[in-house]
Amino acid sequence: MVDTKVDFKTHRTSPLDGAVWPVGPITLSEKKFLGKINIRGNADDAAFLAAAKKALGVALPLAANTVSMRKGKKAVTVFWLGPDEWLVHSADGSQISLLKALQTAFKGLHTAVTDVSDYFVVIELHGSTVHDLLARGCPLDLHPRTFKPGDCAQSYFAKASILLHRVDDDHYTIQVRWTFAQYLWDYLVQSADMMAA
Amino acid sequence: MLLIQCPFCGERDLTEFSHGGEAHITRPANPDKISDEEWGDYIFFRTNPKGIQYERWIHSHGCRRWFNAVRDTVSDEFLGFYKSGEQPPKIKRRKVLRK
Repeated sequence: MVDTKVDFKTHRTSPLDGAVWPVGPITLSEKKFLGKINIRGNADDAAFLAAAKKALGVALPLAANTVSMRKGKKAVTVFWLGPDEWLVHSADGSQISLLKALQTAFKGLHTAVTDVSDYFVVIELHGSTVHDLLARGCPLDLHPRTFKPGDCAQSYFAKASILLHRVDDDHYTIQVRWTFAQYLWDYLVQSADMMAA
Repeated sequence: MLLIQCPFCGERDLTEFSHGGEAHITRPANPDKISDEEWGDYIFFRTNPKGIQYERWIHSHGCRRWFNAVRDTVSDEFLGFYKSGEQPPKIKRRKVLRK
């Protein structure tokens, strides 16, 4: 008999598997298989905020376009998406227990918690000229006076809606819908080529 | 480049937004009882003013929330922004903008 047991962790592929980035001042890589959870709830409800803080280990960011992070073993990054919407990035696999913890914590509260891990792709960008690359498709003002490290913003790059996070001065992550991932990657490759020329 | 002040996200480029037409149009409470003309008026007819217009916008590439804006349709200048459900700001007519 054929053993039909499949280990999905070793056999899975991500939408940008095999994508190659040209050598240059900017490096790009996909942050593969991150756990992603979307949270909706009433920010004026103290019980909701307390429950979210308990389950995540860090308070939800309430200021627009900001991020709150928890370091360490149970590291999470929580993005502000709207006045009643947040997104959590967590380590590969941890989203299952985190989802359960959030659902338990929100029992009886008017909320929505959704696992969107497979819906988005996260691309990481490093490099001193990364701002010039982003400026080729994104209308945001990336000057540090308006977009500081630790800020996030939803916008678009070319035709793809993105969530941009400035991790550090020359270090960004872009989250994009997985169906747009190849398009965005190719656009970035072409833009980097044109910058190098 | 036109900038729009999203009441939630802050100042962003116009291209992140989509226009939603004239604001503050109330759906008739009793659609069964009104005439076809009145219903047609509600569905199709808009004020289309030359000057100050209150209109709806959505931050479609950002927070995806609807809000309202006041715009001068002659100069294309935005005169104010406010959330849905809030009272629209009082805007004085400014003759300078219209030549």
